[in-house]
Amino acid sequence: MKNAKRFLLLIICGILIIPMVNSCKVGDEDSDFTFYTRKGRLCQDWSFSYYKHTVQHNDTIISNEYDGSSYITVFGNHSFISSAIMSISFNKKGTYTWNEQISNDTSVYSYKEEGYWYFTGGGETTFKELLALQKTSHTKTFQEGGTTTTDTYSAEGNLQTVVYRLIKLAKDEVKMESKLERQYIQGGNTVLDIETTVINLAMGAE
Amino acid sequence: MKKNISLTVVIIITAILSSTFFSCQKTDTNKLAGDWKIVSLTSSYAYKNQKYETSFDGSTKTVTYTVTDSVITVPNPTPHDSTITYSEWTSYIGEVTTDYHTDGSYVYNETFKNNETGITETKGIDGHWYFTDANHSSEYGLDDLLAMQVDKLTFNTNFGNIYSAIYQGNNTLDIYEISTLKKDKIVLKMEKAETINFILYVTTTEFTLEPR
Repeated sequence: MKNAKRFLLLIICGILIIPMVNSCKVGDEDSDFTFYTRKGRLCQDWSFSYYKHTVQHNDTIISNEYDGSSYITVFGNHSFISSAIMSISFNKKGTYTWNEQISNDTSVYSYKEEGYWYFTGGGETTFKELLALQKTSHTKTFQEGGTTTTDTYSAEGNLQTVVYRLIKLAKDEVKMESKLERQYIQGGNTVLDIETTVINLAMGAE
Repeated sequence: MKKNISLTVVIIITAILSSTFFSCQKTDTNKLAGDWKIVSLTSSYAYKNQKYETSFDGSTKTVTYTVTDSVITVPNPTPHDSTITYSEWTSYIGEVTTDYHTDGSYVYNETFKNNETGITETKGIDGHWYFTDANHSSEYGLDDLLAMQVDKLTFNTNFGNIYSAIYQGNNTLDIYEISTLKKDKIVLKMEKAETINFILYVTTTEFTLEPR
């Protein structure tokens, strides 16, 4: 009788554990089981281990790629290689800060972006599979030959957000991407614009 | 007795952990779903000395453009600049409908006939809608914000297609604050102010939806 009771209790425990295993695997490469919440996993100081941003307008492609130390811009048959540091921090209160510094022998470009982050999703995606970044400010500074040019943006309210699909959200690694294709007709011709951003993050801002 | 206590503790801990992970599941998406029509709308977009305003009462829409300038020098009694305000407006008759589906998609349609030219303009959007999670800093809770993502946009007149675009993938999200969400009434608003290189752009929109 005692054993039967114990067996029944174990079955109840098993049933209660089942949703733990399934409900938190959101991204394709997420682990099946973790004790950390998605917020807990995201909210850290990260350095970019890989970043690629590609903009295609019909046959014209411009790409910027970062491998953790070098930043390569490719436009047509031209390429420019610079050294760079890229990092992003997500705060548990709901803010983020994105920093870039790209430099070569003749110029220094720095970029700082701040804003709010939100988990979202639903419909064809799972809730919290999407990460929306709502930029509230940026400062771009470009220094070359003793001349500094600055571009500033600040905003508040219900601002438009960019959105990334979180492929992997682990305590020590994040993989996310955003891909958008826009097709429209202009002057009787069909125009295709594709913008893709791939981001891999590793622990610790440099 | 000891064993019974330890088993009870195991069950309680398991239940707590389980409930924690249940929270990873999808939020309720049925609150918004339905076929709606816009019964009132006010919106404005202003930058520098220019302002575009739209008002709609469910059948009549008025679009007003206003520019304020101070370029005229008035010679008397002492020379000074004078401020002038120029306005022009266009009136339309029509309707706006929005259907939010439980599968996360939405359809937006508007049809308006220009009272002056007689031209009928139609705008259609297919897209996806999402609720956003809570954010302590922006002070919005779970389901306080509605994010809308355009997948297809068409603009036609009765003289033919003017513009259409198809989006695939992670299009940007337009964010609306949900002021009211009831079975028979939804109020959405969007207020934002952006300063781009020292120029301020202010957008406000508020509209009320009722079931069709």
